[in-house]
Amino acid sequence: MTRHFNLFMVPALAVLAFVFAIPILLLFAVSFWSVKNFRLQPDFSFAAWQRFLTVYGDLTLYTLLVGLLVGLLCTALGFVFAYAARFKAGRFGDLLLVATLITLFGGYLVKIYAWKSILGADGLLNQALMWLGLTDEPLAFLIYSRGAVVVALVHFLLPFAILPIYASLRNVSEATIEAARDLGASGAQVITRIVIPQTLPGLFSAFAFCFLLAAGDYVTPMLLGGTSGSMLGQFVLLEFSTNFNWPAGSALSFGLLFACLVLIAALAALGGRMMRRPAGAVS
Amino acid sequence: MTSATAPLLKLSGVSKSFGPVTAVAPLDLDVAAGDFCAILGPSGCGKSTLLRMIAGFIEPSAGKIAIAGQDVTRLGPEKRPTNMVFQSYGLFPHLTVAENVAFGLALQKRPRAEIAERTQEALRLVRLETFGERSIDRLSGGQQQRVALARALIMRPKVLLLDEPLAALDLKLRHQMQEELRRIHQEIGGTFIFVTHDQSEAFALANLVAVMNEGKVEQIGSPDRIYLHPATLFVADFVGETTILAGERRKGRVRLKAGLEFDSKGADGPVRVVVRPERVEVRFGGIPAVVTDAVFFGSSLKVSLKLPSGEMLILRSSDANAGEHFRPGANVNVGWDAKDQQVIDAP
Ligand SMILES: Nc1ncnc2c1ncn2[C@@H]1O[C@H](COP(=O)(O)OP(=O)(O)OP(=O)(O)O)[C@@H](O)[C@H]1O
Ligand SMILES: [Mg+2]
Repeated sequence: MTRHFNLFMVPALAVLAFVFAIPILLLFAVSFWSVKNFRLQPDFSFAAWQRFLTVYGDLTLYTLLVGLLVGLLCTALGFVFAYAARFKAGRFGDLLLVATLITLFGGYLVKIYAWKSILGADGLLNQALMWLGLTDEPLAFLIYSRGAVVVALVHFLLPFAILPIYASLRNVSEATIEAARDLGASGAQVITRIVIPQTLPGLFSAFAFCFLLAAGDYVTPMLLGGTSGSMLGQFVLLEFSTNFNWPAGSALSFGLLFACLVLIAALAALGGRMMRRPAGAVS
Repeated sequence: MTSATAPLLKLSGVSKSFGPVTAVAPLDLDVAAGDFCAILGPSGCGKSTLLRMIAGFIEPSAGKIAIAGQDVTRLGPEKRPTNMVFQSYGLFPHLTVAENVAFGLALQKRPRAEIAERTQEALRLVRLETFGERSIDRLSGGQQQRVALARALIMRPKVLLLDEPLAALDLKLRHQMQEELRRIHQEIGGTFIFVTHDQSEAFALANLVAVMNEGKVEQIGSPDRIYLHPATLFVADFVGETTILAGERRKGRVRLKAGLEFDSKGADGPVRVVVRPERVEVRFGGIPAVVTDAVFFGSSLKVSLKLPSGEMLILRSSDANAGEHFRPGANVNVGWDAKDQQVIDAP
């Protein structure tokens, strides 16, 4: 049985290796190569990694922070939305979900340009503020800022958070909620002790997804971030294309990847601990 | 079961409508401390709605609910001195057995030692002492049922509510759990209200039975009263085996189509007479009847008789030699004492 299974796996594994693992390993090897006269040559040098740590260290931290913030905001907002759809909307719950799916089709750039037209110098928000007399001239810091990047990313990634959270909320039976209330739990205690512990896997995948997508993004900061809101992804692009420094580009992208994985693993370990000893538990 | 002291639970004029649907018509119910009360009725008659109003999950459309003299009509379930065992149990899958049982006390921030001690006590009461560290999904249905019971009992509720607690169990386990419930009720001396559509379960456990039909309470009383003196045709028919005979009352005298005549006060008009099978006996000078069928059940013999009116009468006899009298086709004369029959005005 297992032998048959293994035989079946061979082609799939081969495809995976060619399409996925080998290019990635090659790219990783490139981060130890060097560039002489605009020519890439095999080497074993840590120059690219050194460049990553010294030149891009702060930017990596900032990028991770943005990812963390966007991930947390999306998870929190996604939970609120999914919770309302699951428990408050009655039979409209599934309809609300279809609506979030539809916004996914809206496209990525469309959303960014929508925010441009809202936050821009002659955008909706500035016009509204001036019309209300709260400000005399357009506020320049609304667009091309860190805030604009975070807002646009949260808006874009929110559906990716809602879907896994809603899926795990559907498995929370109403009887457990009623039982908790019956045993004296307040509305807040029901959420923290009954709903969230049962939803942890969904919350975690929502966070991981949004965090990874946000930390790796380069289009949103390019179009909305200005100079202050730059993120590491833009510089990966820069190193690969403009600078033709493939080793640096590779080191940057793998550095970011490793940092993200470490962060996710740490959170997973924390979540695992919480699963085993949830709030409200008594030894 | 009327007691001299004020009832522990008092429902006055409680009703509930969902839009145009009346789930529970206005009803009064008094339950004394220590009572084991059954709410009995067919599916969809409003039993769960009534129980959930007592628990606080559903706000009544009208009426008042008082527990131990305190009006709780507008209080939520977390503020009522009641606890509930849900039909689907509603156990917390992310907690162990002991953590499930301790949940309510942990919310009250009781001292650790007290929680541990009372958890152990509650688990002992349902005979699950050694299961504390198990996770919920590694329990059988009957064990989950016991955890749900322990989780409610540990709160020492003034009134314990059970919504079809045994419906999901197989027959053998159900009988076993009925025994357990009786034992626990005696051991802690609490007040239990449970919902069931199984008449034998209601009679086996309760000392007070409320029979419901289509949102209305048809009769409230002790099991034997409900069995022998059903107040309505529905109760007579729903509760146990029964024979219902048609007749007519004229000036205080009832004439049955089957031929019997007796005095009975009440308005003129059609009536029905309800007789329980084990109260019917062979009687000299009784109604002539023909045996159509006789089935031996081990402890008793069930005989179907055809009356002159064409109506069927059921007789149950525990006489060991009864089989000889009741061969199909035999002619017998049958009757019963007037005190064992119930006359009900026909609708
Ligand atoms: N939330 C609700 N909205 C509308 N109608 C309801 C609601 N809850 C119950 N009903 C209706 O009220 C009536 C009584 O329901 P209830 O659940 O109390 O019945 P039940 O006696 O417990 O039945 P069962 O034995 O099948 O559990 C039913 O006709 C049901 O359709
Ligand atoms: Mg029900």
